[in-house]
Amino acid sequence: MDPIHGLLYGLSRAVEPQILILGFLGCLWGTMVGVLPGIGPVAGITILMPFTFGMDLTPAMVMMAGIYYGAMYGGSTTSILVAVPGETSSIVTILDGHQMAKQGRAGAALALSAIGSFVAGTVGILGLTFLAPPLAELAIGFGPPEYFALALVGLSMSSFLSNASLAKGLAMAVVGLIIGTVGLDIISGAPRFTFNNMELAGGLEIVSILIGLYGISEVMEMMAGKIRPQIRHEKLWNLYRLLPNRLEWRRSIWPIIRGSLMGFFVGALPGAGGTVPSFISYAMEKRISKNPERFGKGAPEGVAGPESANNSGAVGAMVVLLTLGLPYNVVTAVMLSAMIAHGIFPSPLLMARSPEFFWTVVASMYIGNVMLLILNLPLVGAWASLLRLPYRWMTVFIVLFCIIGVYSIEYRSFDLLLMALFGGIGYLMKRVDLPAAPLALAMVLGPVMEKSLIQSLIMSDGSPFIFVTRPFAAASTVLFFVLMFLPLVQKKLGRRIAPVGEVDM
Amino acid sequence: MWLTDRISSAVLLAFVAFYVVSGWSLDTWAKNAPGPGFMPRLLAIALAALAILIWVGAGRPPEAREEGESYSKREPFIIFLAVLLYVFVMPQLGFLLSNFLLVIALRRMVEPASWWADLAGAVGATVIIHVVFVQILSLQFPVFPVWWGE
Repeated sequence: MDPIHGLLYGLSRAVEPQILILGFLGCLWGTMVGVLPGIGPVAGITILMPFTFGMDLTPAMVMMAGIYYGAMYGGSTTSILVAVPGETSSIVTILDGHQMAKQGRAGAALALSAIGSFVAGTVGILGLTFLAPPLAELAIGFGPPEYFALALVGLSMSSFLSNASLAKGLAMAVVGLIIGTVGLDIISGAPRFTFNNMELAGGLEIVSILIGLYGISEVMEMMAGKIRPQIRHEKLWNLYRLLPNRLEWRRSIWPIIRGSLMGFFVGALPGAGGTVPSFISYAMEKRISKNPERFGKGAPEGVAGPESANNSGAVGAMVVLLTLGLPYNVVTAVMLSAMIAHGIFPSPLLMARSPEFFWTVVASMYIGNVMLLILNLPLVGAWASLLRLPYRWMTVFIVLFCIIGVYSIEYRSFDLLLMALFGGIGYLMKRVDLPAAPLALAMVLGPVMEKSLIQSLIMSDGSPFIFVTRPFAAASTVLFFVLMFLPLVQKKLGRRIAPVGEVDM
Repeated sequence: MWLTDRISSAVLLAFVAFYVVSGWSLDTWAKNAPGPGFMPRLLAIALAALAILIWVGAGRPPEAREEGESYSKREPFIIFLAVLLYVFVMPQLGFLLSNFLLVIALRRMVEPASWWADLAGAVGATVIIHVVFVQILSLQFPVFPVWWGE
């Protein structure tokens, strides 16, 4: 199926009432979790994921994708209005977005953010439509060594970009891989670390662990008083003046275009997701601006560029998931585990084997993008008022949703125990500055990595040189070592790249 | 960060020791292919090395006492304990009663309002959750206590 026919077929399915409604609910829930500080897209998806197990995979993925990019849209609202980022990729929007709000230009900032996100989402989806097929064709030639090397780069990149030290990020990635070794050995079928417990034979339930790490621990963090937005009651925004003026438009058009294009390609890189493109876009716009001193004081470019970049970055991350079957950030890792739970293992052959699934998800993204524009622009006041919800009640409902979600997977108390324990562990990890993203990513990637490592070693009669004799695997291996030794080199040179915040929480 | 890094490192090393001992009997190499113990041993070595790096990277203890960010320890602990208790209580008491108790516990122990408001809120939340998930979505929860039908 060529892209045009695939897309037309996907559109015909995406307008079916069930898919349309679930896509809309995904966008709605995504915008809500994006607006509310403390609950990011990962928690938003993981909490709802178990409820999708009773559905077909296509509507389930449409809903989850809706949550993902809905959160990207929603995150900017609170950044602009109350200087509280709903999720990490909107942190940089505070710098100029909130300044614009203080100057009475909140409506314009929100409109630029929503329109920029819409344009970027469309550019990203066009990229997905036309670049995914050739990328999948290229990836069909990949064997176990390439997959292992790519997964290794993804993990090390996610550790590198976390806001902790590289050693801590990597340590958490290894802990995630260790969790993945519990259960029956993939090759020999021998039980490992099961302690004669039948519940452990099938491995640890990843969804329960993720809900613990991102749901329960977030609630604990909220209640510890770390994430509680101070809502100002004075009206510092005028939401009725929504449209940007001519000067703001002129200043924003190119940042939107640049952010959209750059975000898509950077978002497809390991570990980047939506957060890294937003930071790069801000730095880029400031550097090429004729008046960089305006940045941080309410420059519309500082809102339009990063907001566009984070949305197209989110779609870029989906390209890698749908074509290679590799999740390069936590959100796509969660989506991958949902696909596996539904019995679909994404690979370069996904498009050939399940074209109806692939193209319906892509087409629903187009529709979701329009839904989000409609949801976000006129209803921005309603979204902002969500911040007035009493946090005490919100935490109660989040805890109940987490419990119900986990228990409904297999109706086992053991999964609830796992969720509770990892909730506590996740909270302690935050306290001692250990990042959760590499752990979550490694848990999902672990079985793929182990399988491809062992297959590679079987192919090469036990020689590790297989990873440097095949061109693509060699390039990925070199990139991995560069990432490992970069901090040492930087230390020697006395410089350091500032971390950009934990990726896609 | 010095102390927390040292603690993290020590906990990770203890975890590695437990992991190695638990997987001691797994074969590293079987016939011409890596055995079930290959990946675990590789990971244990990597984690031990990283834990040592974290220990070394923590540097020397600060001369003055480190000023940590202020946060409450009580509420997170209560939430953790309540969820943990729920895990053990729910199979006995059933979904309805356990949810009610969990909500009331969370409401009373974390920023409580008046007893009546919290009770009414807990009943309301339990009913909403029951109607949505059990009645409408037909999830198969043990709704009532195990002794109910006896």
